[in-house]
Amino acid sequence: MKLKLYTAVLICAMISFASCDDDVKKNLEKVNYALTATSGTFPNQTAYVFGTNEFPSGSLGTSQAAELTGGGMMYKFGSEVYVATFGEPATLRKYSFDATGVPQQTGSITVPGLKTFGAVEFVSATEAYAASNGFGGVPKLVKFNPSTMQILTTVNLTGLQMDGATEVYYLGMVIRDNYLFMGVNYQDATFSNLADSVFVAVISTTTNNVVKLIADGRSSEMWNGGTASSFSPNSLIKDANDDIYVTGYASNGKPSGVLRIKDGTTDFDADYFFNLDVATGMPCLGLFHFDNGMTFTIRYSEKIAYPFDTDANFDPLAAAEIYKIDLNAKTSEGRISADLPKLFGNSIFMTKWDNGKIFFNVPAATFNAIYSYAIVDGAVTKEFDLETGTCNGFTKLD
Amino acid sequence: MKLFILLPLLVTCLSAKAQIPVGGSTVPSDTVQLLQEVTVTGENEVSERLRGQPVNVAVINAMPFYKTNATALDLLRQVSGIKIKQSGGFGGRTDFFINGSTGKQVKFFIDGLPQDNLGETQMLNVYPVEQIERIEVYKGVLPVDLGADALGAAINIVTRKETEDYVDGSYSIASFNTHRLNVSGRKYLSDHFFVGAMANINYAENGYRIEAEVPNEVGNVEVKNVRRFHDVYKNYNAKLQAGIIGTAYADQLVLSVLTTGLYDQIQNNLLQAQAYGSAFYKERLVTGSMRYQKENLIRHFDLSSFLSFNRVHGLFMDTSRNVYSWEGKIVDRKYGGGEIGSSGHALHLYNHVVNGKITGAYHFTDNIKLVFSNTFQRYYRTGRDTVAQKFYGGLDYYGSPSTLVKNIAGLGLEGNFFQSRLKFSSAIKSYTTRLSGYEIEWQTQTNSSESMHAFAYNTALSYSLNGRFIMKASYEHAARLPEAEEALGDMMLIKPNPRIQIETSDNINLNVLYNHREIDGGLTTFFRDVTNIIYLRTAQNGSQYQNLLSARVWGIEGSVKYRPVPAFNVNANFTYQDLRNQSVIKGNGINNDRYKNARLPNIPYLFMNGGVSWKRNNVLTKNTVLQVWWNTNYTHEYFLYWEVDGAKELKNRIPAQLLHHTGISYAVGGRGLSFAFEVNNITNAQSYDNFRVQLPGRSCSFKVRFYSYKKEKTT
Repeated sequence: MKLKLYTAVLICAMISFASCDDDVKKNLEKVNYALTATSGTFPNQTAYVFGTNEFPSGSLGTSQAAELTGGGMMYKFGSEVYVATFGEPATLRKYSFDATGVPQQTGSITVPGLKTFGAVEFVSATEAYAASNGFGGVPKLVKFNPSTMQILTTVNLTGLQMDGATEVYYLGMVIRDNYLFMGVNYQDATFSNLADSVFVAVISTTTNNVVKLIADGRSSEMWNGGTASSFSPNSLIKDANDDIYVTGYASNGKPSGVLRIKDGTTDFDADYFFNLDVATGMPCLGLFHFDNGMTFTIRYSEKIAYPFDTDANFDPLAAAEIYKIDLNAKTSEGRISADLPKLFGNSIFMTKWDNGKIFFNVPAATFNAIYSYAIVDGAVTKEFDLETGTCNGFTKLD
Repeated sequence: MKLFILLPLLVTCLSAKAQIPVGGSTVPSDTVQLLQEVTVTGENEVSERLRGQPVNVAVINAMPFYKTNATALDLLRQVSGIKIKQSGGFGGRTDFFINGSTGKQVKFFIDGLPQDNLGETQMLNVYPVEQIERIEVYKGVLPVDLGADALGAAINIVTRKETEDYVDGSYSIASFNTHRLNVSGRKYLSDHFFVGAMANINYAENGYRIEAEVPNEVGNVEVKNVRRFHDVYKNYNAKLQAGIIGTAYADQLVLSVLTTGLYDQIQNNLLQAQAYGSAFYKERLVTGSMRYQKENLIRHFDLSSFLSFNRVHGLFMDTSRNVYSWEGKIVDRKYGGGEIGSSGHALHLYNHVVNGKITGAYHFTDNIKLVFSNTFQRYYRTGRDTVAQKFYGGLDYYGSPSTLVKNIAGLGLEGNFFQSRLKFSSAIKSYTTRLSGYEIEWQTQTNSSESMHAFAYNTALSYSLNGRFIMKASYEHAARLPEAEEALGDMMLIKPNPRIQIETSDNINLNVLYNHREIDGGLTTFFRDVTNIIYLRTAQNGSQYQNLLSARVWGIEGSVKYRPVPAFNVNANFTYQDLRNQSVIKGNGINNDRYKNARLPNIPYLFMNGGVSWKRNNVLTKNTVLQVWWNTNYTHEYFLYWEVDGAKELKNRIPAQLLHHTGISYAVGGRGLSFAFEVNNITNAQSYDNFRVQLPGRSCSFKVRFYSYKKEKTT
């Protein structure tokens, strides 16, 4: 009898402990969650960075937030948050948080002449890469130490220039083997796509030289930035097999779609193309891929809003939906919830830190909130609202 | 710190209590007077007449400042209700805030003629004080004969028009390698015919020191005290006049030819975060004009008219690929384009502007008149940019012309009763504009044109009580038409907006003025309800002007001047303005309730000025005047972004400014030589009008002036 009792108590205890997810185990003496959000109404809008001890609930304000001078893109690595602000000179700031959630800037790197850093990819606590936006700037890829926030070396990207390209954007990065794969977008004199191809630069991380520029014309062009550490739709992702998937933007009669660079190769896989226009019925933007194999894309229900989230009069138009897709089967499972409103697609991000939920933001026309997607059954639940504008990043700190 | 703020006010109060009796002494009109006297005074007949008008107007008599080193901005800064934000040193870009109006809502005039689309060479930040008779600042209702679509504020420069022969020359040297030379003169060749010339040259290196962030070799910024190295500003201004006055057919008929130019090096971006070392802007204006004026042209009917032809040539040069650090070193090279723009620019812009204005007044009686005014402007713009054209594969975004035609007609009734104790004015205005331009998208040029029309109306009353108090009340429904760039874009970075709407504002002003013996003061409260405010909305796929904001403005301002004895003068003024957002912009993801009724950010809302001066005649020798003065300006801190967002201690703010200036002048008689020595920002305080854009520290200046005049003409 006693044995049964002890066994029952033990089982109950184990169940109790097992049901404690990471959120319950959080240390309330430190900040466990970090957010950035765009706040304000035009023409005075800027980004705010802040942290919370507990998982947010209700409606979240910015009373503990540090105010940046303009928009910013958030990256997360370890227990630190990094924000690349827009405007010269390109600056990447690193933030830690005090016990109350107030962020403290603990370092920064700045490169004069650059407009901003378009993508940041972390390799380790002491190695990371930051690429400039190329338009009218110094074409550079900066290798830096995220711990000390010091630039280690630079990669000259002049070799990626192309005749007739008036604007060059470096978009998204993935590191595999000893190569850094970086998306490149070329615009011509009319602010149009220079060549209807998706371009990816292959850069050696050992010699810090551009190895080659590969192109594929099955989709129109590279569009989004984003890395594994960012909070934006990604243009390049790497799956568990070390295959790299690259999204192309729909334009000039070519569909949006996914290309592949197979493990061990540095060229596009001629046998693989996932036509997102066909699979979802409308043009799509970017990928969100997680270690459990789940993949999502942003599908626009109105073509006029693709990809700037504006209507014909340049007024804001929320028309995007989150679709779940299968990269291997090249199929769409449809939108993740019929209850979600239409969203501003460029502001959507999805993030995951445990095996229970994928968190994503809902930048809608009338409200902003963080929702979750249950990995087990796909249930979509609102977690908390934001009193401000769009959430630019939400993460759990390690 | 607080002591400096309170001192002028305290002195004012104590002095007021002292009630030192004074005689009826008068001050010669050309006696050196100082900044603190920038209020309506009884010393000038025109000023006094304007003061009594129903509209809310402040008048600055410039003549007392000819001998000082003050700029027109310095004069305006001392007026209650006005805040000027400047981005840099001499010649730096300025933004005016007048009773809550700002940007293009504030209209500028020279001798009553709008300066829209005439470039930057005639702006107040460089306009020589020695060529100004007075500056009129209208806050609220604008007189019908001013003829402009202002939204509640206007500044009118009235140029110098002596009725005697004179010659006036001055040279000043100041810190940061600043030199200013001014000469002007007028000669009457007969009782009715004169010729005149006015010219000035300014040069400023603006090499003042600032605290700047300089990245080191590993990309970490170090704050260093550096000297601005690419901020030269120079301009010239030359005007020839010939005119007839006091004849049977014309009180005034004046022909003028004006040429002006400027060269302005661009030192940094908006946040002073990135230094530039090569980019510059040049501009040249050539104007020919004719002015005619005749009272009683026919019985009871006055007529005045003005016609001018203007040609503005602007050149924005941005072709260097060098990247500069704040230490002035070249630290990198871009692969193409310019320092600022991705294409680089050698952008020539040519504006041809025709301005015409006619004003007629019919006097029903001595007390009532009907005023009609019509102002016409035709603006034609074209340009070329060979550098950008090459970058954009041969496409010239500036090649085709844009035009704007604007007509403003107004009809007003003015009158006074009860021995002029009660005055009123009422007017209705009609604004019409037609704009035509084009946009280029996907290499296809699309022509566009649009027409707009608006009505505005106003009424104003003033009542003089026992000759000491004047009470005023005015209401105006004002409107502002979109300007060419706002509706048509700039063909490259700013897209046209054919749906842009007219800005409107309902303005109410209440004033009480007091003037008796040694005390002169005033208290004003104002209310504005502004809708469809036009802002430039920047976006990744092209910027565009849009109607983005509505706001309510309430404010109060007061001023007092006390002169217990003729030799001593103390003054102070304050302004508090509360600008609150009223926008409800739906569907763009913003929680509007959060910002409704929130204070508009990045606009100063509390500021005050004070000063004292002391004067002594016959120092060292007879017929001389020695004067010493001290002025203090205070601006309360304000936030760059919305107050309701972010942790208070971590918010970006424009810090409080407390600046002190002093000077001494010595004048030999009403004519002859005078000298002035001034120190601005005595404490060398770090000061900012715009976020992170540091203004000059302590600066000294010395000025010598020679002035001579001959017999006065009777006209």
